[in-house]
Amino acid sequence: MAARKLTAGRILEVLSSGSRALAGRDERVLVRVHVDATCPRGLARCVRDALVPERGTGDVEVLPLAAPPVGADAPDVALVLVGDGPCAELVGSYARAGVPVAMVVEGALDAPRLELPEQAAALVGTVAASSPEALLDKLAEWLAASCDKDLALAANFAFCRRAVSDALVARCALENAAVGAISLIPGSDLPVMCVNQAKLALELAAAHGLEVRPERALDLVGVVGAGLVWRALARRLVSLVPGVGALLKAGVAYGGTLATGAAVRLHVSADAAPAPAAGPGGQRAPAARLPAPGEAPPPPPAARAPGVPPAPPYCLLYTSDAARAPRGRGVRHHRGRRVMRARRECLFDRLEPLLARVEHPGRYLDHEWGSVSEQDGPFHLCMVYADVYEVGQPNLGVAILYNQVNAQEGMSCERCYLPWKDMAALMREEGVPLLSLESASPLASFDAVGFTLAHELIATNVLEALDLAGIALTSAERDEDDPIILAGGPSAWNCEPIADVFDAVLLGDGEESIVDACACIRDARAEGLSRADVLRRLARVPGTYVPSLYEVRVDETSTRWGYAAPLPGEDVPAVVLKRCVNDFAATPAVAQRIVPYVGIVQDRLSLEVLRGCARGCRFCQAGMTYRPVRERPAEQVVSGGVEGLLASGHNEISLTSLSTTDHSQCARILNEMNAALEGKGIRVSIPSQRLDAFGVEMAAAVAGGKRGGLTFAPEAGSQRLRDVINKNVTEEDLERAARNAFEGGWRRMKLYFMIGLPTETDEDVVGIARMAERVLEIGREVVGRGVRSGVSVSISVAVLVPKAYTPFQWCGQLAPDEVRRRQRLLLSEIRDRAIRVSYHDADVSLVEGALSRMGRAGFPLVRRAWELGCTFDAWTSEFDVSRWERAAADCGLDLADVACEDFPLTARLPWDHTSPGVDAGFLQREWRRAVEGVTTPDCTRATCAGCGVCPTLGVRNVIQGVRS
Amino acid sequence: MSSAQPFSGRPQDLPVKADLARLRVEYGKAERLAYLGHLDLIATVERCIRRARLPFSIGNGYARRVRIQFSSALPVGASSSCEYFDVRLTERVDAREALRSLRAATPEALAPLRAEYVPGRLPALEAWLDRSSWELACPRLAVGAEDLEEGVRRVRAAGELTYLRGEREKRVDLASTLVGFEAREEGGVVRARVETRVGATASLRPQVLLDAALSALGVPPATGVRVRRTAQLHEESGRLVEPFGPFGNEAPAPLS
Repeated sequence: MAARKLTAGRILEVLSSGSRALAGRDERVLVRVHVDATCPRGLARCVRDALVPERGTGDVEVLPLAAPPVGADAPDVALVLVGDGPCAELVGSYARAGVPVAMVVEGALDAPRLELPEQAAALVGTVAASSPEALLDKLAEWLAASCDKDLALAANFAFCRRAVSDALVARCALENAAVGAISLIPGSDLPVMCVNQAKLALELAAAHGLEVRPERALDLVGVVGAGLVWRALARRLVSLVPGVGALLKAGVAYGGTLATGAAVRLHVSADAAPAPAAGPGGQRAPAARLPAPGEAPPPPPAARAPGVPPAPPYCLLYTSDAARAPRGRGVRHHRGRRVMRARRECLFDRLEPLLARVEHPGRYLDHEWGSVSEQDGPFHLCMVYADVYEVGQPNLGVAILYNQVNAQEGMSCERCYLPWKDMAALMREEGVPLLSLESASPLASFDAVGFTLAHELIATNVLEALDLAGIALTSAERDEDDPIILAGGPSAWNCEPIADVFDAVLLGDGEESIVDACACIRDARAEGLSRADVLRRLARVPGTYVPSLYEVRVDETSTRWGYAAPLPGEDVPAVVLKRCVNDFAATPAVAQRIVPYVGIVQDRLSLEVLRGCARGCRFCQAGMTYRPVRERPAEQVVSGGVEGLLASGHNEISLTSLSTTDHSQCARILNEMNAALEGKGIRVSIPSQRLDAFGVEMAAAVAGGKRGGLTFAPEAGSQRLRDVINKNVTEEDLERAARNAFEGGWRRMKLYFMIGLPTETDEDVVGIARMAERVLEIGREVVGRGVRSGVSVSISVAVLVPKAYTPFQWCGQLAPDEVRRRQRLLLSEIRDRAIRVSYHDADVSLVEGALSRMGRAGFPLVRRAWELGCTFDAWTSEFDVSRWERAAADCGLDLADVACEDFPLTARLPWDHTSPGVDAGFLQREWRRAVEGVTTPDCTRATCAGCGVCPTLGVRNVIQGVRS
Repeated sequence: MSSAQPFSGRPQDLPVKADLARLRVEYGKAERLAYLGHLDLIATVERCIRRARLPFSIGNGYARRVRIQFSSALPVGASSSCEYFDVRLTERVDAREALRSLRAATPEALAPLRAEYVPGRLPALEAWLDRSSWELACPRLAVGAEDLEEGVRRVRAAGELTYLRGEREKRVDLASTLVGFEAREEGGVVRARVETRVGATASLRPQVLLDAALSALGVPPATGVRVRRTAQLHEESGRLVEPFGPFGNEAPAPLS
């Protein structure tokens, strides 16, 4: 960069010109206006309105025509508004005294004739304008040309700025042209010209009344650096066209400087524009500005004309003292408007000293095996999983998008994870922003940032990540140049509570839509579109929901959270349908290529064998939203798995999907895989098996190694209730599965249940206990009765959280008191000590339930919860329900009231506009069948159930074999 | 892959571990990975061995671990140019080939430098390597090289050093663990060389020694210190033996 090539002498020049610019800006300037009573009213009014000083250093005196001429304190410039009266004398006296004077007239012929010596005549100008706008422009031009104190004038009077800036730029351009012409040694003219441009930048800043600091000049070198392109061009032209070189270079230098000057002026004048009104719920407290060392403190803004807003403070992003001040929560630090996006640079050396002071520093290390270290871009995306590395690294969604974007020409993708609380506190203290992993660049320097919405409770972590990165929390508060914040993932189906945060939400399968979205952003930015227009373009990408283009309406057809409809005049669909990749076999088998150094939550290779599930369990959002069912062919699974294991070195492979045992070729896959991995000490595991598919062969096939606990999820304690939730497993299925498992060598069984299901009675709750006892009995029968047989059953009970796009979406959650009563009931029914009961925290479910049901009006709750310190809510050690309750009280909400509210079947719901393609009528039919206890078959095994996904999205199930 | 595991035969027919080929690999731990803990390092190296497709031997225990032994753990924050591990192979592949495939399968920051076969019945690596040499680089030290040596002399005179590790207090006997210390100044940075020996109780960490020396001089602890292990050796009857040999005739050690 040019800054680094500057010698000490040059830097002094810049600094001194900076202080000269400062001095120039702060000079006192006195403008005297003589008004003839008969002058045109319009012009007079216009001049009067324009000549309102914004700083304390400008003074304007308005006098009638007959006032005494120049006295002891001569003004710096005089204006005479000419009418019918005689003014030639007055004008002459000013001119002879050396004061530039302008006659403001409507037509050039109105100006009086003057007889003056040449020197004095040069100081007289005629500003003739018939309309106020033309008047101001011409007056400004004259002022810039005639008055010495142009910087002070510009700093005080807004209408002069453009003209003064133009004059400065032109002067600098001429200088640069001269420099360019004189030195013919290639490369030697660079420092001089860039210094000139740096000086120009400082002068322009001063002209706009802004703080002039040397760091500012260096910061604007980014813009100046663009000027280097011009010089590079010139050099190449010189080499091609000998002889004409000097002239060419000079011309390019001139033009280049003009362009650069224009760019700088645009940036600077944007800075000086009045700040927009504060966003909803936002507190705009300007950061405290401390004077740079050696600089006098800025003059207090005294004597400011009413109605003129103060210039907002300019904060250099990571070096301002405001960023370094330790910030407590609840005191939201709002950064002033930035001129440019954060610089993309490697800041690892600022993070490194902190590693010695935190827990488990290995989680902040990068360059893992398999990570993509060439991040050339030029389009840069960063995928963020808003939790610590160990939790976020195994996430398949991030891995898939990472590979997809890195494979594209011209795009690259990095990862970012949230630092743990100790590191986050240190980073805030030391002013280190949130950095990506691969290149340690600040998150705020990327073109786009993508968040994975893995579950509802990640919302506060998303806010924490944005705050650590220094990006404004809501879409409305962001600057033109800020990164575009995207989101997607399993929890995007009701993203309304945090919709305000995101610029765009990608629904459904992300493989193709992320590339489309990135290409759209890149092209739109290249065309120079404004941020709002970039978002409008994004809304055209299929499957993209742009919340800012929709408004929330509450009326008698909706619930209290209303529904979202396109803003009038915006060309966006009323319902955004998800993207669906139908050719699943075309996607790579093993998405997870990165092998982390540290131990992570699931330290194994994941292979997605199947996407979608059509079993139709009525509580399951994933089943409804991931349709249609697409299987991966067995050959691809086996070869991909073996190849992936050899490439990664893991000793365990996990065949992941929503229900792997439903894969029509599951048995074949397991057998072939076990055969291929014989003798290598590698385990094959399946995350969870369906009860009705756990046969003897399955038990043997999945063995392969350690026999720990086996998990099944019957979900409900009685057959009636299981039919209500459409979980089509019977008592016999459970008994058979348990018997097979115990005979296969397992000793510990874990059973998952839910309470709070619709139409649940106490009998059903007691049924849970009976089921557990039955399984224990089978275990004792098969293995033995003694304590040392090791047979144990543990049941885990969670509260149902009704989710969007399930047939239970209209139900409210079970009330907290009733939850506690049923939990006690269950506990009292368990009499055998070998059965352990554990509860998923009901408070966590309450918060999840609230977040699942709210509309956009719920964002203040999320924000307030974060301000009060809620982060890492998915961690049982970190979750604190009292903080959430306080946040709710602060927003006038009650968590139980929100989560337990029933919605009428006919109401318009807050999430109707983001759809996975499931028909609303289908969901209502399913609800009625649920209430009557009628089951619905699986469409991959029986006939179509009419959910509507296939016709709406134009997709179909892809089954490799035959499902039994 | 040779004999399939689990082994189907009589227990007395199982191959004896001591007779399996023992490949000793020297590798470095670059500064970038200085903060990788030892447990994570173990898991990483295991995966590298799998990726390199070496015919590693798996233990017969319940956990079925790869038969690999590491040299003593580096303190977190230290880098090294001489870390070692011994891996038992079921086949005796060419050492150069093994090194090449290991290098291709390991991240640069942990790149293996040298690989050779060593006698199978040597004692366990961690216990066998009892002498270490360290280099410390202290960029912003408040005292000079001579003062630092004086501080260390004072600490040594005290005989014993106690420090807090997490919540627990640890005692280090300096007479047996601290072999040598010398400091020199180079371009504003104080560089110190420390020789340590594995003692009967806790081992001496160079950072701890530095902190103790500075507090003995009444100076606040230093920041930004870089610790690097530069050599590991075996000491017996006054001689120093290199990790790759030549190995003398020692008294037979228990099977490792």
